[in-house]
Amino acid sequence: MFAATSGSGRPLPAAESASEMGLVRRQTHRSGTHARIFVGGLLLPIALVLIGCGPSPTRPPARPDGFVEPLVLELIGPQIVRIENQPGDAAEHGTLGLMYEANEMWEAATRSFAHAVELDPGNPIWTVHLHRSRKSLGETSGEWQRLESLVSRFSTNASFLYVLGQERLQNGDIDGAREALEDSHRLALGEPAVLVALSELATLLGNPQQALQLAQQALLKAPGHRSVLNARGQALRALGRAEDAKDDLQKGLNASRIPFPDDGLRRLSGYYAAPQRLISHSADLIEAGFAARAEALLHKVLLSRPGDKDALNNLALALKSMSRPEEALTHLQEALESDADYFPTLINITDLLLALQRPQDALIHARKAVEIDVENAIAHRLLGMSQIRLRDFPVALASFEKSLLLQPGNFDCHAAASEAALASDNLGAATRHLTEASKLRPEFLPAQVNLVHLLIRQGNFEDADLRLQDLFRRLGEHAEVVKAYEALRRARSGGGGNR
Amino acid sequence: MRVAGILPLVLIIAGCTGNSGTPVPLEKQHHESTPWFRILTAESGFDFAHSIGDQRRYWIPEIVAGGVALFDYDNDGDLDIYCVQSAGTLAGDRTGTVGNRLFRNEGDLRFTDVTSEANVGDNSYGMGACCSDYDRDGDVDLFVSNVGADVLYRNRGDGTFENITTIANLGDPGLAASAAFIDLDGDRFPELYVTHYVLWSPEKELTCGSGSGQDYCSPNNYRAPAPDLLYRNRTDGSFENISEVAGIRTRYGNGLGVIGADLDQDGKPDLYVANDGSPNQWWRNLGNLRFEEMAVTSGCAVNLNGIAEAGMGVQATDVDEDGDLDLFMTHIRNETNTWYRNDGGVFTDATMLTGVAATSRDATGFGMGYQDFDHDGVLDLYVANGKVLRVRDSRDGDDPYAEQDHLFIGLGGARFQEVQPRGGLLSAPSYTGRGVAFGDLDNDGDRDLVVINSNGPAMILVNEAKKKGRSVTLALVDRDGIFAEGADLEIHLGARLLHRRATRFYSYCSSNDPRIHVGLGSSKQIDTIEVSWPDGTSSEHGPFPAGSFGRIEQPN
Repeated sequence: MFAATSGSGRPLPAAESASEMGLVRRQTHRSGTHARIFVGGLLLPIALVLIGCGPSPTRPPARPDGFVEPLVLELIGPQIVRIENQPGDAAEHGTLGLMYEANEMWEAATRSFAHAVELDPGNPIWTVHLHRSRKSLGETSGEWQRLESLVSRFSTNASFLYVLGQERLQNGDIDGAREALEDSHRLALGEPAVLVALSELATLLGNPQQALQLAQQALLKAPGHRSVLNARGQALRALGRAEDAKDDLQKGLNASRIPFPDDGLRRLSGYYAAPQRLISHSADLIEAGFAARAEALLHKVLLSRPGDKDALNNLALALKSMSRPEEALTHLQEALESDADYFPTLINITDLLLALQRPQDALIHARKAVEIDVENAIAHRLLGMSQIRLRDFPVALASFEKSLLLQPGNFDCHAAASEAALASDNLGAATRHLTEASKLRPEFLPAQVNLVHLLIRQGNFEDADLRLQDLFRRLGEHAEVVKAYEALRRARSGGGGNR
Repeated sequence: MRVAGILPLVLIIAGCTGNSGTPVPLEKQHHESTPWFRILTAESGFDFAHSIGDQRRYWIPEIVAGGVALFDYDNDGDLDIYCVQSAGTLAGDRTGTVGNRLFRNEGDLRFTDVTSEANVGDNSYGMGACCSDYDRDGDVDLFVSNVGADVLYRNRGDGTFENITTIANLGDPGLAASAAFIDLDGDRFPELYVTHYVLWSPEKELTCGSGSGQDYCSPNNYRAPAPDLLYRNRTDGSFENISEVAGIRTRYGNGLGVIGADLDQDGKPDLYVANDGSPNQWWRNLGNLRFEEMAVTSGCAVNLNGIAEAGMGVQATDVDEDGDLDLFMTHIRNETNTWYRNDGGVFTDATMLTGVAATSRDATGFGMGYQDFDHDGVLDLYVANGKVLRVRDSRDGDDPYAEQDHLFIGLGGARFQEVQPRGGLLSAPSYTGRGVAFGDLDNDGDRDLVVINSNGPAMILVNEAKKKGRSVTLALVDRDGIFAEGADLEIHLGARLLHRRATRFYSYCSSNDPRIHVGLGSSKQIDTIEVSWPDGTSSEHGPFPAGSFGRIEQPN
């Protein structure tokens, strides 16, 4: 169904302007706290004057230029004040950077993390997040050099080495990438992100057997993680095992990259404040089963943006998943008042009304949805569901078939179409759809058994028999399979049909 | 000063430095050279500027529109230029605004706007253009993909065109992007494949953004990928929509780029579709206008990390000279442009081995093309860049989506290096690059290009690269004298064997010079060319001396 709407755009790249790079370099080296002062008295003041190592360094808080969402202002405001009071505190600058990062404000994030790095160059988290922000801003010229210059400082930090490995890879230093990733792996044994990176590198370099082993190791720690499955699938394909690879590659399609977790990443979700970000995050929470948290977030959005149709849609879905359908309906109706033609609302409200056993009301919205988007398979399917509940079977069948024309291979649609066809006494269509459904889910017993019964009904005993034999082979003497077998035996002894 | 006195000073200095360790020498990242191109000024008569509308509404078509076609509409031997405008009611109340424009090439890099007299000034919200002599009457026709009804202009052969969209059964009202005319059934009349982006209307538009305010949505925000369209050429001047029976409705994404190429070398041209944020499709030609999707299992649907990238421009070329066609696609910022190496029909994302990964990651690429600009015998690469997300905070007067284009010099073995000055231009401007078409506009033997910039001036880049050899330019025509789209060439150049495919269709929303262009490097001639013609026959031709303009005709 048309689940939660996610309102944010694509992940934003990072940038670092030449002037900012210059600004960082132009900073006087004020890490006085790191100076090892062996000489007292005479030389020390000279050194301090010469080098300019003086009082503890400070940085102003990075402020965004241009428009800022009110909810984001509410988040960063107090943090900016904290930094104004403690301008030399790297952790506060870093926290501000995380707030910007969470809301995809990459320029400000880059400046904040740069300040944090300058103030606390020994903390790898800020270095890693500065890199992430620059990448997202898209101006990473010089970034590779910067990371290389920090190797000796962070040579024992697995997260840094992971990031360094990726950067070396993108810049064509394949051997260096492998070295950094292997070092990261040694420091963080079993970390799936690193194993996946090493697996992909092995595939790229023509070592698919090694790639497979690495992917298998990653799966032990992250079972079922789609990006790990992708890595395994890539290795299998490279080994010439295309059939074995198929399932992994399908599951791994478009999987989010498995992150290398660090303390910064773990804190990010707590800083989502931009309405679109909150709405996106609520969608993730709902899908992950945290509907109550999503509800809280969405109420926050609606306080700031009353009537926001995306927020209302997601809130309805959260409530539905918490078995509060009537409340969900109220919010969808409110969304409709805000925009009567908003397609996601029409889909969601149709779905909800069907769940509430109100097919007549569902039909109205389903028709509207189809009117707005005549090429949408989901809209036609929901229309069919409304019609079948109202026992308008031939019309429902037509809707399901239209949906399948637009999006072939949908099991639910084939199953529903077969029911509509059966109820319309259209045995040919019913058989066709059940056959497709059983092909799509051979493990789904009801579809298999229903097909057998249908074939028997049509006197097609031979096909029914073949299917039963296959079912016995796969499932043994399952009760439903035995029932179907008895039905076939009775039909045959009753005479008629083909052999 | 005694050593003991010096040492602490050194230590203090060391302690105060922000960096430690020796800076690692970079792999040579840039190829420094003199400029490769110069921008032709408006005095040439070419003065097209693209506009997204009277205001920025953050509607998704605004950020992806802009294509160009190079074709010889008047059969006078030089390439004319057709630029697609985003106009009409979707663009706002702009009655009387000029739509698409056709510039006739007068020679010597002078152009005349002949839109009115040619009758090709479609005033829709245009996306791209492609050309073909689809009716095989000896002159090149023009298809314009729009947000709204597409348009087919039949070339009358007298300098004018006729809008025959309705007669031809075209005119689908969806959000179309790149299109290509490819003869998929071997009857010499090309079919038409039109990519479709999202199921969109203004009523379905969403509000997206970040902490900095409104911005364009990702196509996946709409959750409405649009099925592409495949039309069979009926050979009577009309087309038939065969999308469903051909099998291409079984999978689709947010289509933006398309090419025709025989990726598995079975003698039948396939189709490859670059999708934005959804897996790409390789429609393998099974014969009889039936297709099977192969990209997922063959390795060219998503990148090595399993991510469906934001595919825009696409080209199939044998970059590594191993005899089969590799795939290259441009993508969004924070994704690399991606090179899928073809190993006998199995693809591997080998971008990290090419040298373009890091540079391309920082930009959003659209139109692109492999061309041997400097005639050293190795293909180079040009990519037009322009963002789709604002990224930086808005500043008055700036185009927040502008980026500089990239030019990469080919080093051989599928490796490239970025050329400085950036984009091959002294003081390369920053625009929001979209469609690019490549061709020899002045017939001087090298490849020029035309770049369409979203909401900005189009640019003709005249090739002035320092040449490291000469070239050969060949027109490839079939027995009826019509450009043989889809012919495969094996070019023997001394000890080297190059593979090229005769095609107009690559890049983004654009259509290119169909002539084969080969840089010879130090060679004095092309020894022989073996041509595999689209009808399955083959022939051998040559030699072709350096500097020649020739014509290869399919023998009877």
